[in-house]
Amino acid sequence: MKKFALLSLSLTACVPGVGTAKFTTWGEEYIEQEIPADPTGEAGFVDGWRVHYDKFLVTFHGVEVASEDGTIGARMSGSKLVDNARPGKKDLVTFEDLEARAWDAVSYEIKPATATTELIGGATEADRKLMVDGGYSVYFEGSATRTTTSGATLTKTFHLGFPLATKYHGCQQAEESGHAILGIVVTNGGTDVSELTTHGDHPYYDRLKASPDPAVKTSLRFAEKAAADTDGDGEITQAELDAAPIDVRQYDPSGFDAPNLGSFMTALIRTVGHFRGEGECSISRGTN
Amino acid sequence: MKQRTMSLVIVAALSGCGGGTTGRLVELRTTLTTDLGADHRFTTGLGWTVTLAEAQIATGAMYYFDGEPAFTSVRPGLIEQLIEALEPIHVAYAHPGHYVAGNAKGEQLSPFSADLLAGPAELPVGDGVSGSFRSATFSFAAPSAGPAQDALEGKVVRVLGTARKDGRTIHFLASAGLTDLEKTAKDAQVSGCDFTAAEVLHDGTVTITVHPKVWFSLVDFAELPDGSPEAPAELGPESTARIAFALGLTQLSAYTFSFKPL
Repeated sequence: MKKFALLSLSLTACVPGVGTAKFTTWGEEYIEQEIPADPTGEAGFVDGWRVHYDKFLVTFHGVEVASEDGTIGARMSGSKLVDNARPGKKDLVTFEDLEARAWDAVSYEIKPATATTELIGGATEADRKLMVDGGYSVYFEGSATRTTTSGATLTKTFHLGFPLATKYHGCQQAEESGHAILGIVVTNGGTDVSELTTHGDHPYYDRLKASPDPAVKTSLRFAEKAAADTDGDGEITQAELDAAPIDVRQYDPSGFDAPNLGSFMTALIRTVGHFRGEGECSISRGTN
Repeated sequence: MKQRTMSLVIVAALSGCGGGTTGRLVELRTTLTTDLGADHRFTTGLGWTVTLAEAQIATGAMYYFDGEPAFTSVRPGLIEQLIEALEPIHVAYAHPGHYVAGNAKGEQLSPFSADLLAGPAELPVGDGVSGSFRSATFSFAAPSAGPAQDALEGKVVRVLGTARKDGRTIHFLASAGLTDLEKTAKDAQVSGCDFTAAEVLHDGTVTITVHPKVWFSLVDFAELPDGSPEAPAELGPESTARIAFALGLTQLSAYTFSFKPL
C-alpha cells in the first residue's frame, strides 16, 4: 500500500499535462494597407514611392512543433494558401493535446502550392490555380505611386510570382515580445498562439545583408523598379526586372549572386517569412 | 586577434578528442588557383568579353568550418539583433546573409600573394582537425608576402586586361584596396563560401579556386575610356565601375574550396 502511494505520487509529478499551440498568419499594416513614403527611411520608401498590395498570396506547408532532441510534437499535413492582403489574422492550424513543455524547434515552409492546397483567409480557387500554374509559393500584385514635384501622380502596377521553396526553422521570438525564446512554450491547459508573420516590405530592401558600417542603413527603394518598366506600359514585369542591372551605388548584393533587380528581389522574397511579428527563423532551401 | 581566437578554437577541439577519427590533427597544404582557361577569357553577364593579362591577389587567413555555406536568411547577427531591440518595429533592416559557420575545422593563417595567371600557387601550410568541412572564409590582407606583393603596390587585387563589347575594346586596370572591400565585407572577409563537402580524415590539400568572372559580374566598362596597352584606363576610386568591382571581389561565389587527401 505504501509502495502504491509512492508510485501514485511519482506518476503525478511526472505528468506534465497538455496544452494547445495555435498558428495564425498576418501581413501587418504594410500588406493590409500600404508601405508609405518616408524620406527619413525609418518606416517607408526613401524615394517618395508608396506601395499598395491588392493581393499577397503565401503558401504555407509543414508547420511543425518539435524539440531539438528530435521529438516531434505535431506537424501540419498538406498546405494552406492565404491572401494576406485581406485584413486580419487568419488561422492556419491548431495543435491540441500537445505535451506541456518548451518546444524549441518550431519550423514551417513556404513553397509552391499544389492542387490540394487548402484555401484559407480569403484565398480563392482562382488564386490557387494561378499559384499552381505558375509554380509559385509567393505571389503579390498591386500598385506603386509617387507624387511628382509638379503634383502629378505616377503609377506603376505589378503582378509578380516567385517559384521558391524555403524552409524556416529554429524560429525564435523577438526580444520585444518579452523574451527571445527559441520556439514556443506550451503550458498545461493553456493555448499558445504563434503568428507566422509575412513582411511585405522586404522585397524592396537595397541590401541583402546589413552593412558592416552601422552608419549605413538599409533602405526601401522603388524608383529603380519603376524605371525598369522600359516599355512604358505602366506594368513592371519579372522580365523587365531581370533585365535591369542593379545600380551598385544604391544596391549591395552583400556577397550573394544578384546582379539584376529580378534576382535581387527574388533573394529578398525568401526573407518575408517571420515568427510572431519581428521574430526570426533561420532559413534553408526547401524542396518543391 | 582573429587568428589567435580561431587557433584557440581548434586547440580546444583537439584537447577534447579521443582515439576516433574526428578531432585528429591534420596538416592542410593550400593551393590557390583559378577556373580560367588557357586564354584567360570569359564573358560577363553584362556582355563584356574580358581577357586578363595579369591578376595579382593578396590573401589573408583562410578558415574552414563544418557549417553549411551562407544562404540568404532572415536572422540578423547578434549585434544587429541588439540594435533592432532598440529601434521601433518597421525600421528597415536587411536580414539576409545569415551564416552559421559551425565549428572551426581548419585554417591557413599566413598572408600570401600571387599572380593567378602564373599557375597554381602553393600557400603556406595550414592545419586543422579531422571531420566534416563544408564552408569557408576567404580573406584579403595587405600584401606582405609572396611573389606578387610588389606588383600589388599596396592593393589587395590588381587586374590588367581588355574588355570588348559592341566593337569597343577597352584596356583596363582594375584594382582595389582593403578600404574598398571593407565597405561591404567586414574585415575584408568573405564568409560562408562553398567548401565541397569533405570528410577530412588525414593530411591533404585544400584547393582554393578563384573565379575572376564573378569579380566582373557587376562591372559595366562602358563608362571607361578606351585606354591603351601602355596606358590602360583605371577604375577610379569613386567610380561606379570601382564600386562594382569591389562588390564582385566580395561575392561568395568568387571563391570555392575543395579538399583532396594526400
